[in-house]
Amino acid sequence: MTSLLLQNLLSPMVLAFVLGAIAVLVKSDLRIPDGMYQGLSIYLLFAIGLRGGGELSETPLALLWRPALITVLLGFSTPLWVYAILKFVGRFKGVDAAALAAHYGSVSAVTFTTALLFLEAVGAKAEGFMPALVALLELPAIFVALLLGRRAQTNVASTAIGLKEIVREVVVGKASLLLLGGVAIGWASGPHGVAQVAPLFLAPFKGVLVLFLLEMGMVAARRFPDFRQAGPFLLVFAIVMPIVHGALGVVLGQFAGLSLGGATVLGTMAASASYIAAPIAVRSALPEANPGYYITASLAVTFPFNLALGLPLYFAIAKLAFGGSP
Amino acid sequence: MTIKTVKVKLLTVIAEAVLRERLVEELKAAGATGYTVAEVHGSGFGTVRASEWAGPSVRLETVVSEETAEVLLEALTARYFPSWSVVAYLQDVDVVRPERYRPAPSAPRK
Repeated sequence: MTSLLLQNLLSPMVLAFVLGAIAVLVKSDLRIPDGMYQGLSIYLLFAIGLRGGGELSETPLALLWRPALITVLLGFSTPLWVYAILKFVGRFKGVDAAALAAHYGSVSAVTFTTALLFLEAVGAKAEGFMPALVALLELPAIFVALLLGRRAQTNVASTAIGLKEIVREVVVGKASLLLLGGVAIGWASGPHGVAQVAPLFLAPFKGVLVLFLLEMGMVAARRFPDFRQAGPFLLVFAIVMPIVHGALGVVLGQFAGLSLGGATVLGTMAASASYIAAPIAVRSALPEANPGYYITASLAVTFPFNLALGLPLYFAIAKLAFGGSP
Repeated sequence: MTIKTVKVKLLTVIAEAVLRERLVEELKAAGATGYTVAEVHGSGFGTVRASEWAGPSVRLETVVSEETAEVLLEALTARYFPSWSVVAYLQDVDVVRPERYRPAPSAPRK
C-alpha cells in the first residue's frame, strides 16, 4: 500500500498537477490558452470513448448487463443521499445541495482515465467497457440532481427550466456527446477501426493527459482562495463522501462480477466528482446555486484527493474485497 | 460631416459562456437583424466563475432600433440579471443605413 501510494504520488500525472498548482501559487505567467484547454478536453473525452467502444465491440453482452445495471442504480441513488446529507446535516440550501449532488453523483472523466492508467502501472486491468459505464453513471446522476434542484429554486420566474431542457443539457452536452459518440464510433468500427486512428488517439494519450493535468492543477489552485467560503463542513464532506462512494462502488462492482481492476475503476468513478458536464449543466439549469460551493469542493478538494490518495486507496479496498492483502 | 447618418442603439451584453445560445435566441426573438460575438476575459471582483470548460465569457454586440433595445433590456432584466453574471449597456451610435438594423415587417416580433 505504501509503495503503491508513493508510486502514484510520483507519477507524471500527479506531479504535473502539482506543477500547475505551484505555477498559480508563485504567480507564474504560465497560462494555457482557452482553445488549448477546450481542445485537450475534447481530445481526452473522445479518445476515452473510442478506446472503450473498440473494446466494447469484443465484449459479450452477457458480461455487460450486470455492471451496467449497478452503475445506473448508483447514478440514480447517489444524488439522493448526497442531497439529503447536505441539506439536513450540512444545512445547505436546497439548490446548493442539489448542485453538489449533481457533481458528486456524476463522474470526473479525468479521474476515471487516470485510474485506468494507474491500474496499468500496477499491472491490473479493468474491463474494456468501463468508458460506456461512465456515461451510464453521469447521465442519471445529473438528471436526478437537476430535478431536485429545480424544485428548490426560489426565483422560479426568472430561471424556470423545463424537463425537456434538463434532458437536453445532460444528453447533448458536449461531454456526454463526445464520450458516447466516441463509444459508438469505436464500437461500430471495431478494434480494427480503432487501430487505424490509434497513432493519434491511443499512443499520445498519456502525454496529453499529463498536459491536461498541468492545466487542471492551475484551474484547481485558482480555487484555493474559495476554501474559506466553502466552510469546514463541505471540506470534510469533499473527502469523506468520495471514500464512502469509493468503497461502495468497489463492493457493488465486485457483486456485479467485475474484475479487481474493474471494481477499482467503478469505485473511483463513484468517488469522483464531475467538473466538466455537471458544472455546465448546473450553471445553466440551477443558476441560483453558489459555484463557490460546488466548484470548490469538486475541483479544488475532491479531484486532487482522488488523484493523489483516492486511487491507491480504492485499489487497496478492492484487493481486500477480493480476498487479497491490501 | 457630409454623409447623412441616423442615430440608432448599440447594445452590448457581456455574459457567462453558458448563456451564449440563449442570448442569441433572445436577440432574434426581439427583432435584432444581426449580432457580433467575441470571447472575452475579465471578472467582476467578488464573483465566482462557474466553469472553465464552458469557455471564456462572451460579449454580444448588436445594433438595433431603440424599441428593440428596450425589449431586449426588459428581457435581460426579467430573466437573466437575477440569476447569472450579465452586464449590459446601451450606447447611441450613428449609422449610414438605418433600415439595415430594423426588423423586416414580416419578422416575428415579441
